[in-house]
Amino acid sequence: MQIIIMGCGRVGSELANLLSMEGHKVSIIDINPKAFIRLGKSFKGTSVTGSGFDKEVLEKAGIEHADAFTSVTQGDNRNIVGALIAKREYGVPIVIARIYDPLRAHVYNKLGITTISPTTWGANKIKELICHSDVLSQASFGNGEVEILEAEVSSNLAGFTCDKINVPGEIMVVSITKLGRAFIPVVGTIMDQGDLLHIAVASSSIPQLKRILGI
Amino acid sequence: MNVLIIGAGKVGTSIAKYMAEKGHKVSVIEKDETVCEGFEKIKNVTLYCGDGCDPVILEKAGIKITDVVVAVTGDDEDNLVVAQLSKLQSNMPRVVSIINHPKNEWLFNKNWGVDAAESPTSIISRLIEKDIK
Repeated sequence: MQIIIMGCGRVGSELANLLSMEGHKVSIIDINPKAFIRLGKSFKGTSVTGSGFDKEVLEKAGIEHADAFTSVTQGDNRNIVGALIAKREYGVPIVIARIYDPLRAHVYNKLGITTISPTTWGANKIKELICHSDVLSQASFGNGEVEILEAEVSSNLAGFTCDKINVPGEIMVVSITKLGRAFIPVVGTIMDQGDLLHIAVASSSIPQLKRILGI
Repeated sequence: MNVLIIGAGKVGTSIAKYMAEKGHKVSVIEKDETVCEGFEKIKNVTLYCGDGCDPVILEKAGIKITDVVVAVTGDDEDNLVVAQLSKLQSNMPRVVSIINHPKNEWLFNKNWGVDAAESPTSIISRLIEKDIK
């Protein structure tokens, strides 16, 4: 893929190196040429000095043929305007903006931009490590609002169906691994002791799930 | 008319005074606390200290009953965000903006929620060129 990154700070440079190592064609834009020092010698992509709002700079970075664009500068507003330019003016298919202020992220979502808030995500992650270190998170979605947790079927749940655990809109068993083979449960599937469950749960419902599982 | 000005710099303050003298009801939003403290009291002008790019502050300052939004901060990205947020309101106020960096002129149009905008740099440059000719 051809990917453009606006902002060569900690996140921007890390992302550029990761994507470049995976063989993607990466262009990174920063107003300050000194910022490119962070990229290191192994970076194979292109670096373009200038403003991410500047047509010439964007076109030099190859925005007209880009598959993805992400703005990760220090300014939330700069990131949102950069993302909107990529989407509106150049029709880049995948556009992601980093927004620190979680209160605003949803407003910007309304403007049609996918946003990632490291503030919300980080807070959710730390909260989980503090309060729920006994259930193992396998995957986290959005900004951590939904998680997939792993749990083993205990004796008090053995012989019951997944309805014993499922709560509409909050908790759902999405996979059961029985004797090393995983499948998606249907109505009436019985859980046996020792089965491994993967459960999708709203992060606010983790305490409730723990009560149900008897942890 | 209700006028909402974002940015209490030289331009924002002068416009606030001018519009208030004409009898309009003016609200000004400024995010720099030091600037807010030094803001002189003007009749018919209410100052709100906060970030004009924050939907909550915009609402507090009365965006829903505003007829004209004037985005005159020193950062073009802030002015563009103000314009976007203003147009999300049901009453769709008219949005007028300053363009700080002439290279950003291409973004200040109806597509971006801006009804009218001017770049002082471009105006002065045009005047200079006219003189030379």
